[in-house]
Amino acid sequence: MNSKRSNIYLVASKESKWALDFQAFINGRYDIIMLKPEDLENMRISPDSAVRGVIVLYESDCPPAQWFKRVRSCVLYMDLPLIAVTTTLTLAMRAQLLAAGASVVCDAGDGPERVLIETENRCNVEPVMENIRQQLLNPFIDATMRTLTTLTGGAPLLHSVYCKNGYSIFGDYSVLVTLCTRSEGTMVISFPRQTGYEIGKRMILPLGVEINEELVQSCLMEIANIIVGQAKGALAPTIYRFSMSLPNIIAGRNHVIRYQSGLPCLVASFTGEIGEFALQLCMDISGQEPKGDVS
Amino acid sequence: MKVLLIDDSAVMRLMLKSLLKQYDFTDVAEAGNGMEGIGILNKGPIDLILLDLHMPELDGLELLRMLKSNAHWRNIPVIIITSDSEKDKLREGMKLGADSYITKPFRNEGLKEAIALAMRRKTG
Repeated sequence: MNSKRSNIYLVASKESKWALDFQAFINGRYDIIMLKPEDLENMRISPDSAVRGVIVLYESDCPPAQWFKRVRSCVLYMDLPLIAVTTTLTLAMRAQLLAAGASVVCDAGDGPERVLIETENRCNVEPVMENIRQQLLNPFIDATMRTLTTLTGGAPLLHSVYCKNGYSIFGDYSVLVTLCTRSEGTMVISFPRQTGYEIGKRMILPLGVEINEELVQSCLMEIANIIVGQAKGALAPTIYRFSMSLPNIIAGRNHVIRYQSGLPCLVASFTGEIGEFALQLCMDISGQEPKGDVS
Repeated sequence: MKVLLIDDSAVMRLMLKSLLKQYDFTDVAEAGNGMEGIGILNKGPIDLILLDLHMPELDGLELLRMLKSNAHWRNIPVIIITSDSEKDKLREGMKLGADSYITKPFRNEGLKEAIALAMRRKTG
């Protein structure tokens, strides 16, 4: 069981009265992690089932919507609710903030209860059930660790595991492999560009070949192919056995992939010396036998 | 000695080629799928084939079947390249007449041993 307390990030200047009122209203129901605007420069809010959302408070001297884009880029791989709260709400400001990635824009005058409801209603992240993690997700996690350690010499560290009900995937490179079980599922591994190039460098440079975009993409596709292949072998004797397609890659800075499989999406995010990345697995977890031959 | 490397992954071909060079196999032809492999086989003699199983167009097992049913090609040693997952396919490949295999991700020594085994089987 996941025993961690849930938390909400609150980006505001510490002197803010609204922030203090909000903390008093929460009164221990969540852990509030306070961030100053300047903290955003060098930080990442990594995905975790304990994070319920990020509230960003704009007051009269607030920076423009560009600053909110920075908040968006701090949140890796997931559509966490990003709630903008402002004391000087205008229609133009609302439009700017929504365009910059805010999930919703609230007027500070509406009070902390409204803001909390907006946050809770938009949160789609849950812990992964232990049996699903053990039986289904761990083979993919083990394969990821083993493959990247062997091919890059840099062992990834598992950062967090969670389940999300939204189907948005963020990244600069995403490798997709279709998995066929009872229904069609997908495994996607998404990498920021920096991680993609670090992996590429570690795999290619020792071969005495200059790195280029095509080779980086080839490295990432091969890694995904091996990971799914190994997980396929581990799951072959179980009800989660599947057949797999060849990998496809989507490359594009900060791309978002949305799909509607109706299946829950299990996420394992990693960090470590090669950088951050996330594995996302959407497949039938009902525990029923697959139909027909999926070998 | 001429080696034919058939794998749809450009990076895997680079890695294998680099390892082969370390073992003094410098004459290496590359193909990105089974059809391209057939084209190279038709052009001249090949002494060893490294064959990926999971490929588009013509996959490794289909190509292996063609190789073993062709009088000109059936005696060329074949090393299968596969990930752990494909144990059934691997068994099928060995039954079809592959001489040895390596599993991805592989370490350098693995390829060397697989080549030695394949060549022993050919000469033995």
